Amino acid sequence: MHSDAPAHPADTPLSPLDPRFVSLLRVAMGRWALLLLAAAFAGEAAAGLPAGLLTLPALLISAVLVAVVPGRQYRRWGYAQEGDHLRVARGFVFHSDHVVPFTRVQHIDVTRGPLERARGLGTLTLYTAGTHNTSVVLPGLAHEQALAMRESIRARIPRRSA
Amino acid sequence: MTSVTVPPAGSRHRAPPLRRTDPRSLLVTMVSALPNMAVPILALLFSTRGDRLPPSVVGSGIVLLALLLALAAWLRWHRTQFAIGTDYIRLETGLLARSARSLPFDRVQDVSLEQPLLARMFGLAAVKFETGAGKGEDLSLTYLPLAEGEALRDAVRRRRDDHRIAGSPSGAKGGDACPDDEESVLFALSTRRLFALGLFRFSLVVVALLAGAVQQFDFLLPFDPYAPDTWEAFLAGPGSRLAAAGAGAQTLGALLGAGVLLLIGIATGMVRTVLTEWGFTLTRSRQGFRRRRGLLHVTDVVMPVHRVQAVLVTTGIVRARLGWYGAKFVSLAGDAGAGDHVVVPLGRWAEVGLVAAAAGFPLPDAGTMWTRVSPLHPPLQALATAGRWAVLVLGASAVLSIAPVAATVPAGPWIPALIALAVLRTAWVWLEARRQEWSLDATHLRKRGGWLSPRLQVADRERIQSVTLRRGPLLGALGLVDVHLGIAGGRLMIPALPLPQARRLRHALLDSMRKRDFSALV
Repeated sequence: MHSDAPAHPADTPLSPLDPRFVSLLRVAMGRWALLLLAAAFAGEAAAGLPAGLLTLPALLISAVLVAVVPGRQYRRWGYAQEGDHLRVARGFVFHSDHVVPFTRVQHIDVTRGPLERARGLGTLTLYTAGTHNTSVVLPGLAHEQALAMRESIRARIPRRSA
Repeated sequence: MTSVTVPPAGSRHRAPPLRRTDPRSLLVTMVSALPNMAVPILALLFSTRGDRLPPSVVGSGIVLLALLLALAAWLRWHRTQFAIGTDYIRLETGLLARSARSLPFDRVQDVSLEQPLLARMFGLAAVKFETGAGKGEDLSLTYLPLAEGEALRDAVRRRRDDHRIAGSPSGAKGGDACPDDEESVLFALSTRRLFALGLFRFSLVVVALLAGAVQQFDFLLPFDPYAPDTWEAFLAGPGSRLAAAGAGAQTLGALLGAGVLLLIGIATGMVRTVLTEWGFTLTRSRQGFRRRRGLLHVTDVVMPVHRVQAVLVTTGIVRARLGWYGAKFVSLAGDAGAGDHVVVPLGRWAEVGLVAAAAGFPLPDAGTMWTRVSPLHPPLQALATAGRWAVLVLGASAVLSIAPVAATVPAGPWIPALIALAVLRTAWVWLEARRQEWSLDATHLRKRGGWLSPRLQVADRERIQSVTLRRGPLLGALGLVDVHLGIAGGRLMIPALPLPQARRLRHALLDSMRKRDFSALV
């Protein structure tokens, strides 16, 4: 191993997102479920299969998608504003764990779509230089919390030298 | 001709005068637009063919069209004005609705001068300012007299450099400070190398396209290749000797045909290479790297040293055996797809090393400690690829099994062909994923590997933008993660690291990343 890589402190525990985020995830899953059901219906009709052969399993999967998956997804999301960087982790099957130091942040956005607005939620996005893999998105924050984080991160971005 | 007048600093309150590009550029743009005009003219000719219009009417129609287009071009030229301020350039465009864009010199990634053949005949050049923020954000002045373009470029660069040096004590890195206007040649492509490069750029794609085109557009050939008469007549004439010579000669003929295709492929690569890489020269001056190349369309790009984010060294399976390498700078400007920052098209390891070191990205040497990525990486990659293709194959066969669809698709071995492709692709991925290794030292992170197209990436630890640990179900089950590193203008991934090792790597990188602010780096 590399001698100059110091032993890291244990990663600090992640904070959960706002619980209201679950219903947003449910809406997103609902869209997939609808798509799946439509595809099953169309497939059944087009291939002339007996009724229920595709739609019943699709219905079962849809139920799991809407009832079980959003809660799991929610529990897998987490973030931590640790000193001079933001860490955002998400996903169970496909897990990702981003870290962006505030010294690399180019700009910060707080956005909210209509569904988020109705629940009082907001999305915080940090952008770094470049065009691929250059933003870290943290959805499902209470809007005030997102604004507060934006301000606190903004205060920590070092003064531009130019 | 007016020379570039950059107002002295402090005269900010007085708006700089608005100017237009060189009037001769109107001629250049109009002549280069001629091929576009051919389409409407042909359409006009075709659509009036049946009406038996007198040629005078058709002729005046064409003249009118040309006049209209010329008027439009003139209006566009007349209504495009630019001004050069103390630390920005402003461009105003639009016939009625005027839009003005200001580009601060600070945001300019690099300035390039481009001379298409026609512009070159008039001594004109297009000046392009790349911002790295995407195509729409770049600004170009087409065309200015070459000398004026050069003066403008130098003015922009000097101003920016002064600004930078005054503003940040750290300044540019990799800086063995060069004297003011002295340029030293870092790399020049000799004519012999140019032709060697042309051979390596042999284009299999062109051959395939050509073979396909022969089948698709056989009606354009002056004879019918599928009519027996054609070949009987040919065989009776010059071909009779060939037919008489028997199967051996016919095989020879087929080989000759393949040879011709091969020659065309080689010639295409050669012509393309000679056109773009002719006179390739990379120099280093105080302003940064400067690259000139091109036979007919000449380009002259200046790349500031401090904009280079990483260096990419590539080669091929044959080239690597012969000891040839190519190198590219990774920067934001290249990211926008506008700039192609090849700095060594074909060179020896030592030559590439010289250029890379001049940018502050030393290549690995015998003392570099490499760490192999997990031996599970190639099979995992192959498995993931095979999985994706399996889904594709299953989906395709499901779609083809639907009766109405199957009726519309011409019969053919589609599914076996798809499976063959999947197997090839999987094998390719496996081979490319073998022998990947990485190394982290006090200043740089390096990764190398690949078999058919070996590549080496050298990144500066301080210039990394973000670190992401990512895993799918397969990696997760084995306790491995991929480490994705954000680099402005590129990407770098260290695959299949054990989780604790990945965490240590992330921690070490974060430590070096927090030392400097991005605005001093990008």
